Amino acid sequence: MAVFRTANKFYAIANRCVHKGASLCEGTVTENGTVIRCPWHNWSFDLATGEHCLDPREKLRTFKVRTDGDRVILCA
Amino acid sequence: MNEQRHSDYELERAESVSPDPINPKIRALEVIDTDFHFSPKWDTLRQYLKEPFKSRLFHFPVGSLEYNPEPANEKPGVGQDTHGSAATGADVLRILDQFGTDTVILNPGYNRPQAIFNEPVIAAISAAHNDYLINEVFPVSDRIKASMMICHRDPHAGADEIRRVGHHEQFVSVFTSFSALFEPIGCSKNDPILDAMAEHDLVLTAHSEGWFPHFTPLWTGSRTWIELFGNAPAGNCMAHLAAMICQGMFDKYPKQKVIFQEGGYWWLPDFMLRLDDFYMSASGDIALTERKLASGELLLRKMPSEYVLEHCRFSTQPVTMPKNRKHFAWLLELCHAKDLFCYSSDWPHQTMDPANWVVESPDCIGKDMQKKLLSGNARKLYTRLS
Repeated sequence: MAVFRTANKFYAIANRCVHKGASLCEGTVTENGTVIRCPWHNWSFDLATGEHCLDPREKLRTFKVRTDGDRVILCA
Repeated sequence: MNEQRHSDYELERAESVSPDPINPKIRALEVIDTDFHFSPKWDTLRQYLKEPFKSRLFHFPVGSLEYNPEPANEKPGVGQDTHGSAATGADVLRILDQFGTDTVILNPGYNRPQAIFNEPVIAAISAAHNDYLINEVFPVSDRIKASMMICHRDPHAGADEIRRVGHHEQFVSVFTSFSALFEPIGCSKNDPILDAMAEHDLVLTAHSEGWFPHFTPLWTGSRTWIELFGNAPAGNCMAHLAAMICQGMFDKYPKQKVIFQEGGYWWLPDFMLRLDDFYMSASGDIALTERKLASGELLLRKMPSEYVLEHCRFSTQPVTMPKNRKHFAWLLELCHAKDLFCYSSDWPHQTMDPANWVVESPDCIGKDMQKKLLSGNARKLYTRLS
């Protein structure tokens, strides 16, 4: 699981890229904090839906995230 | 206080270390990477250049405009080396350990020397590259093997270089490229190179060069990385393979093996059927090719597809897999992947492949085939590895 904190939101997604298995937590957050770009081959996924930006059938599992004070709670 | 903060920070970082993206099954199997690009620093290589080249060649003289993936992958400043750069033996070993690779066959990172029309310059750079490997890289580890650089444009210079360094056991292959800049590798003008290779039992590595504008007529009108890299190499690869077969290269050199890299391979079923079919119906001009004129033979000794199975191997990167698993299994079978495919990473280029896919398709690639793809086929191909 990879957790991202953007300017005002947390996201949690499956960490393993569906393309060739890279760790997405090593990738780059782009598009104003809405997209994660894979470090190996640039596959880009919407952080909110887990869908590939060009083909929504290529999808990562997403997890709900809520915060409770200083705590970040992931709901699997 | 500051020290305490520093230590907290380290702890926090340690807890967020990225998991290893390489499948643990890969680390348990022997892996031979048949295509890994090694790029010595030019200043280092220059020390091995002979004069007058050493004093005059301040940079690697790229022949003309090159098109690299930067506009497409938005990673500026690194050219083709998207994933890093290995310039020393120590660099190579670090990457091998990262990817779970046991043995590597280095290809030149300066992998478009034949783009330079000045043949003595190509020959000088090739010799410098080979000498650097022999003196500073091979001694680092026996896990490091390489394809030697040669001047392919001048077959006699190419043959001289093979005879100069070919005795070194860590060279397992001779590197060249399929492009439209020169006549096909398989034409008889290259027999001096093939003669020298036969003396040393070396594999011929035919690597893609097809996406640079001046390399291929398939460039005409192209605007994008996908057209240039995704399409043009396959066309060039097929053209060079057809020439090797139809111009009798394998009949004259019955032990010569060739490994094709980055030209694709899912086209093989059509290629083999098509060449066999055309050969059955119209083979009259085979007798007019140089080697057949010299031998007096009128025809090939085998069906075209048989040469592919016997003499040719294909490095796997970049692998593409259909979503329909049945189709993937069929493609592997139709392409004789079990015997013809050898794993490659193509590190550090844009379409680099770790070996994960080989062990993550057990429905299509069983355990025996995994071993063959990851190392068995390469061991059999490169006689100096066995």
